[in-house]
Amino acid sequence: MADARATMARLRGRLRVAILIVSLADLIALDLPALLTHLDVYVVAWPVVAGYLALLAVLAAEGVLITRGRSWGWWRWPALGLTLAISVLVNALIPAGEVSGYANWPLDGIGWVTVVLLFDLDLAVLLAVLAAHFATTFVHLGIAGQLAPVTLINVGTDVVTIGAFQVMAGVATGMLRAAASSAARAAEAEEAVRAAEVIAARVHEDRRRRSEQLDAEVRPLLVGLADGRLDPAADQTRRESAIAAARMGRLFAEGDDVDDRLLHELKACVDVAERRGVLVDLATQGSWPGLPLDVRRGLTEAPVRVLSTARNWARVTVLGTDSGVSVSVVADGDAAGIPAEADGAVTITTVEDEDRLWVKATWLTRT
Amino acid sequence: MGEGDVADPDLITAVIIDDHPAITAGVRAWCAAARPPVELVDADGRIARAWTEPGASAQVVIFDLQLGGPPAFRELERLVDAGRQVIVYSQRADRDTVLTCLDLGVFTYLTKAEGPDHLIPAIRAAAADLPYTSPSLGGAISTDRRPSRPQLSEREMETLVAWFESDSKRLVAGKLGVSIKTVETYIDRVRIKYANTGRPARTKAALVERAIQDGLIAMEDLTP
Repeated sequence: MADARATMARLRGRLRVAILIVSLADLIALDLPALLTHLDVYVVAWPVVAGYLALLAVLAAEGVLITRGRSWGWWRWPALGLTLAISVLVNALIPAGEVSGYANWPLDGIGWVTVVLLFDLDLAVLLAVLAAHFATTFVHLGIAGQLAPVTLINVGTDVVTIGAFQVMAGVATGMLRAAASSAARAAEAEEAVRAAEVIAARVHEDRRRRSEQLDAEVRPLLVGLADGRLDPAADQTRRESAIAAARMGRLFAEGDDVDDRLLHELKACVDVAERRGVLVDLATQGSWPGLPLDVRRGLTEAPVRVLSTARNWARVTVLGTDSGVSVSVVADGDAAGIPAEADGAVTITTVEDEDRLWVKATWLTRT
Repeated sequence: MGEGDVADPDLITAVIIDDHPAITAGVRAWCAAARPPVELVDADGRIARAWTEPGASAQVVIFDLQLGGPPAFRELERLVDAGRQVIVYSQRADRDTVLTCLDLGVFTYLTKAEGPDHLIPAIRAAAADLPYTSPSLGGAISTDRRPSRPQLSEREMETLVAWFESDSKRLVAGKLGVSIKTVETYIDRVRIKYANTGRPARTKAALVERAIQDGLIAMEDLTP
């Protein structure tokens, strides 16, 4: 269905070529003999010849534009003005008595050129321009006082037969244009549906993964608390609960659509600590664009543990340099269970000093 | 302020320009609790009061960079050009702001997350032309990527990063396996290197001169 737009574009291209061929055939096979055999009829002949050549030039330009796959754009208006000027000029140079005859070759030729020029515009514009073009002939007859019914019927028949073809060509281009835009709309709608499906699948997968992890971490704790195996007053239980709560915070934050995921996830952990009454000072410096999930996890894992065991205060810093990213926590917590390595090739260093614990997780861009 | 005793020559006077009364009140309490105390003049959020007495003769200016508008770099520059020792005390912590202030020639930069443990020593250091680098300033310097930045040794960089992260010279010393004195030396040397670059200012020159006199840094370390 996404090909529909391409198909419509190809069809329009071919219709454009067809209209050009019809216009050229009309100008060369019908109008050229008419022009050459009536050179002596015109008041002055050379402007008529020049007008004819100018129309040919317009069609040649159309040929070039087609091969380049381009539209007339703004240039259609000067070209249209020139074409209508030729319509008026040639009419003015035809003696009134010859207006209904072959000497008036522009009657059909110019109409086709306007169809070419107005190919991608609304049908109403073409109708108006054709009406103006045909009107020049009638105005000419009116001024010359040649409004005899026979003459009017003659010219009128020509106008109707010639005009009918040209209007039909215009109608065809309009229909094709409408079909193309509805095809484009349909294709866009289908793409939007497909994108929504992919996003929904990914979100679902993400939620499933997170709920599994929550299950594995939180369920044993909750079950233990429920059946009395774990004592809510015990330090160990409290610490494990605090760590689980911080991890849940981080897990929920992982699904959010934010610019800085690392900081966002870290703030979720800080929130949990602050809710326990820990005073947290968070300072950041530098930048760390688009870190993958396992690196973010590795960087936050050890700090999360320290934050969860902090008793009164903690200083959390994030530093991004050319060589890597580090997350560091200094707190009055305890070092039990801090690993030396974490997900995503993150290294952990620990320094203890009386009542303070300093844990730093570092991820290097180059190893 | 305003007690009738004879002026103590060792008493340091600072003027605070901050449009938040709570900050001014807090800083006043810290200054009063300091031993020896620091005399604080309240400019009431108006920069003009740093130019008129009693603000004009205060040795140190504590300057909130944002007084209800964009950062007041122009006013800061004017104070520095007049030879005032300015401590920027701001809620902004972004690197560009910090480094811009440093380049203008401020004495040091503290964020408002940094309390009396940093502000009081910074005021004393400013009055004595001794360098003072807060952890936030250390963090900004350690991520400086401008081509004009001074060359720092690997050890200086490590120390600076650890200082930013831990906010404790003892932890830095423990981590890098050096003495606290060495940690201080590294941090101060970096500060002097920055004082020796960029836009010249009298306050910067004073810092460098004092550091050379004290043997903190040698002349040849400063020539790029």
